[in-house]
Amino acid sequence: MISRVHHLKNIIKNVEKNILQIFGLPPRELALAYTYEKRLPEPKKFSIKDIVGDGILLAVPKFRRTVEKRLKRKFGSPEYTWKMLVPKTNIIVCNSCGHYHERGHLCAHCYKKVEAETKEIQDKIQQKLGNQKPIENDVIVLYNGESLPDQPKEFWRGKRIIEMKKDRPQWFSKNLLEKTTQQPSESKDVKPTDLA
Amino acid sequence: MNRFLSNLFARRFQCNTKNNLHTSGQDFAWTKSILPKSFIQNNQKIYPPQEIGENPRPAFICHQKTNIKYSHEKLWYIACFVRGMTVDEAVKQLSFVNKKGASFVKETILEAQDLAVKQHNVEFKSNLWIAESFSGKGVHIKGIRRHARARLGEVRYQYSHYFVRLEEGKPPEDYFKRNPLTAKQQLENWLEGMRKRKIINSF
Repeated sequence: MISRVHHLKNIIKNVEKNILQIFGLPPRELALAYTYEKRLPEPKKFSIKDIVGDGILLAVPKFRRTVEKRLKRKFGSPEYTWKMLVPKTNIIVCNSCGHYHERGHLCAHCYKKVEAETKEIQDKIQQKLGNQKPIENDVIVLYNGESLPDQPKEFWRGKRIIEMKKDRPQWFSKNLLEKTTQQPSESKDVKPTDLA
Repeated sequence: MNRFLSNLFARRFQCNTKNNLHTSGQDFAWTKSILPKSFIQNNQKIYPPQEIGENPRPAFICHQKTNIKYSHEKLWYIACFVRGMTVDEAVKQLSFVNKKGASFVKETILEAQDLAVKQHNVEFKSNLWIAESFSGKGVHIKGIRRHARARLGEVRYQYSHYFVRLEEGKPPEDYFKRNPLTAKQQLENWLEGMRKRKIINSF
């Protein structure tokens, strides 16, 4: 009885074998019970924790700020940095214009005048002498009604003369452009206009 | 006729533009500026006539500058600085304070001084001192900035208000009650310190 079952089984086997042969498929003996496929790594789920880490709850106050700390932060300390503004005691009045300035500093109002005049002279120099080469020679500035002092010809070599078409400002004395290297003169005949 | 018509149209125009721009009720952060009103209304208060023996109430002027693009905490330092000074002294000192808020406070004080003479019946513009001076918070417009590691930070564009009340008369001697030592007291203290000195290992 068992041998008949076996016999039947063999017949079925052979039929299957033949069918597979017909279709050109490989015999069943070569079939694998399990195919090993290379498993791709799962796409990593994005969570904010990957980037931020555990720092998401970092900045939180741990203790109440004491009143001393609060006051220190607000006012500072006289020994270190005093945060409150303190009135300055070194502000004085400018004698020439009457505006205020700090002791040891130039009066801003007076300086603005000088700055404006300087800019005018500089513009005139640029206009006349041009931007091609740097100006290495002395520049003599003459205002309305002024003439060059009497000097030998060698004195004038290499000196450029700029004529400003305006009156000399009251505060701009000739002394201001005198060089510190200039020796004090021995001459006793000085023209009134050349006095500082 | 011309003037009547122009007034008519001016009224309508006013309703549209400058006066109501900030209270138009739109839901944007930058239109939400509700200007402070209660401080300046102190100017309109009318006091009853004073009794005969009563001390004359000094004239006062409330003035404010609103929506200054500055932090109100920083403005507080300048407001504190100026309290108790005469108007001239305050303006002089503020010219030498290296802070952005100093220019706003100076402008406000000068405007208030001007108003005092023109509208509040103050006789001498130098006879004013700063009785009250404080800062207030205006709108804060929020913005975002990035930090490292995907973190975000909040940026606040801060606006503030400045309030000042000028009073006629001389300021009090020591507004902050610092009680500084007089020259005599300072000298005595120094002398005491000098006398306490001891030559060590002596009798």
